[in-house]
Amino acid sequence: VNRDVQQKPDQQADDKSRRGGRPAAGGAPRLADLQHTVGNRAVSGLVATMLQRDTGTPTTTPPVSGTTTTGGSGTPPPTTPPTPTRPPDLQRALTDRTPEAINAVRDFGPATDPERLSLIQAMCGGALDTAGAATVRRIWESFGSRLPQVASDNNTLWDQCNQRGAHLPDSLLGTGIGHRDIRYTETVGGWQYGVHGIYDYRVVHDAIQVKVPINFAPDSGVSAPVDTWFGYIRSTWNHYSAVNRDNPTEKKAIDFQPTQSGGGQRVQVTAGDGRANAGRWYVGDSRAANTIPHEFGHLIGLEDEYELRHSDYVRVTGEEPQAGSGDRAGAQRIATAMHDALYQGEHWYERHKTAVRRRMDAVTRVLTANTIPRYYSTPQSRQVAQEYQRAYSHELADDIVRQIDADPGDRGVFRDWREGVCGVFEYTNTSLMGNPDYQPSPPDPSRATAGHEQHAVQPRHVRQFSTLVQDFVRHGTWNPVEDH
Amino acid sequence: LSFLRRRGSRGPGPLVSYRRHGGRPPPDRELLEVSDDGSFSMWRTIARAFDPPAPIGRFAGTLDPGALERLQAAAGDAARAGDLTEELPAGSAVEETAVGKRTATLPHTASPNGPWGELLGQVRPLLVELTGQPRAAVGLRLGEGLQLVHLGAEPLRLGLGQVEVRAILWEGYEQRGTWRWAGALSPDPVDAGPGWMLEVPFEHGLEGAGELVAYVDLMADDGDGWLTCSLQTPRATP
Repeated sequence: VNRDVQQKPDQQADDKSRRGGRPAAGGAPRLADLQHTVGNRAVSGLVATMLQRDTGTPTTTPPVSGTTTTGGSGTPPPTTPPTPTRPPDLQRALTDRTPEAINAVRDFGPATDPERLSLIQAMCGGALDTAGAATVRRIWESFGSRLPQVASDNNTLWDQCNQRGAHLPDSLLGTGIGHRDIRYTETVGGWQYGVHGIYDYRVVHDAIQVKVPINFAPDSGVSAPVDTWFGYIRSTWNHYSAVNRDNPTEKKAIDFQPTQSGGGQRVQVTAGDGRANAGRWYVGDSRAANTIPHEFGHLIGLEDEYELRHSDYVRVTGEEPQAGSGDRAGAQRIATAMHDALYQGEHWYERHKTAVRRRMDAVTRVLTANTIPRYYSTPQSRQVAQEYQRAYSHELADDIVRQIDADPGDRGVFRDWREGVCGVFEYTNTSLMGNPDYQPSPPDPSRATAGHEQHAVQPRHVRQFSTLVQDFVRHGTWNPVEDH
Repeated sequence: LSFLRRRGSRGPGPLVSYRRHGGRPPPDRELLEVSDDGSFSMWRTIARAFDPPAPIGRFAGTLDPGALERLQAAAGDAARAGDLTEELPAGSAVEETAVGKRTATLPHTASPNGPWGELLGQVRPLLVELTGQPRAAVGLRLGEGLQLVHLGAEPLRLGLGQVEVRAILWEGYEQRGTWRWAGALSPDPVDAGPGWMLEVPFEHGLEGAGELVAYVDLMADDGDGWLTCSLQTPRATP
């Protein structure tokens, strides 16, 4: 009963099976219950509308002042469905459609949804005065708990109201609109980094709009190529929709809208081609088409996906690291050599640091002999890491830290060396938040060539937005799908 | 790195140790150590880490007396100021600058006030200026074609089995055209020594108004193993 009372009857148009299956005998007691709960007037409106539906007549109320002509044939006039009982003030507003008439309505509840929306439309034909703004708000509020959904479905009208001076507060939109401020730290290459994402979102009839305000602060003599950068962001990010798995015709595009705003996150804009981070972008960045969308990913709260330990990689990406080179025999040989180097014994007569130095030199020889660059992984090094884990049940990067555990002489060289070598056996994804520029020749066999893997933005990167849609519509199962 | 290892616990230690590393792959690894007598050792990995882009490899020599004097003054002030740290924004390289027992650990984009800011204002330009004293380095020469050119008196081992070459035609900060080639220039490591030069594929076909900039990624051995290094030609308009 509560659900029916909250939901206008004309919102149940698609639910005829339920209505048709209702036993007639049970009608009277349930009607009495309804009358008791919500009153006679609401129930009479409900019944009238249901009758209209069952007879197939339109829900739009014919003008009361109109006269039905029968052609004077003498035949009895056709039976017309009962007209819903409306208070005279509402009826007059629906007929006259003037601000004066609409302002005079005390209760918009008996009007159907289309009628109410048409009254709002009529009010917003011109600028709203104080009384008009209050009336428009009352009409919207007459939708009760359905207001957020109705406003989302009619977002253009909602915006028009505010453009005309209605001053409708966002709070009326419930979870259909919101602000997110995301802060956390991530560990990359053994260092802690701060991630800070800020955005506003709004669920409209066909999309979830994600507004990301950015406060560009150019250095002296520099101007930010805003259009170019926002073009990179839109062309990279705007390919997904939140889609209801239970009914795939229900979907909302995930629409990222970067905006230049003094209230947004500050991004220093600098001349030349330097290393960008979340807080500084370079106008001459040769890889800007990837760099700018990557940094934008941080501004919506995403983590980096490079130089991660196995456990972090799985946590961040939700998947196992990419496959290695496939050369298992070669990788097993290198894995064994790495293990032998790391577990060189420590003589009783030598200092621990001396043994560590010897292990470091042995590991360096293995890497050099196999042309494995330090600091980041390749298909070959990933294969080595996998073979090592299979053979010794340890993560290779962990064994490096365990066995090379003391500075053999100089803090700088020790840390530098260890980070570089651990980086070889950490994991980097080829998505936008990892290293999409990594295009080795011959191609990396671990990089898939079909489906989502081809696209730099992965479903996990936009899942938070399909979740926001899910939280708003409160039905079905909404997932991100790359569909445009 | 031999120049760092030579610094044992018995010695007085360098005047300034600077180390910038990390970031999205290929990561930075830019090292500079200046001694009290003005001698320096430096390794550069990513040309664009500082502006303008410079050759990569090993560099060594001596600071001019004026620069050394200014550096000593700034280092003294920083040492008295104590340690300094700042939060690292996502994507940053980490910049560690040590003076005596004091260290500043900052994102590479930091602009701290006070003594550490003064010191970094002295040190960062050195990472470009001191590439004028190459020991075993390689640079890019863009003329009729594009060449890798050895710099300095000592050999530098290069890994050319997987090289990426790019060209971008810039007009202001708009990329009017791009071109990319990837492949092997040599299946085996090359010991590039004095006089060594290698022509790089550069059939970009980019035409029209604008400024052509070349980019080359390759591997170099810094003595502790292979590093992915990035070279690029400087722009006339920064």
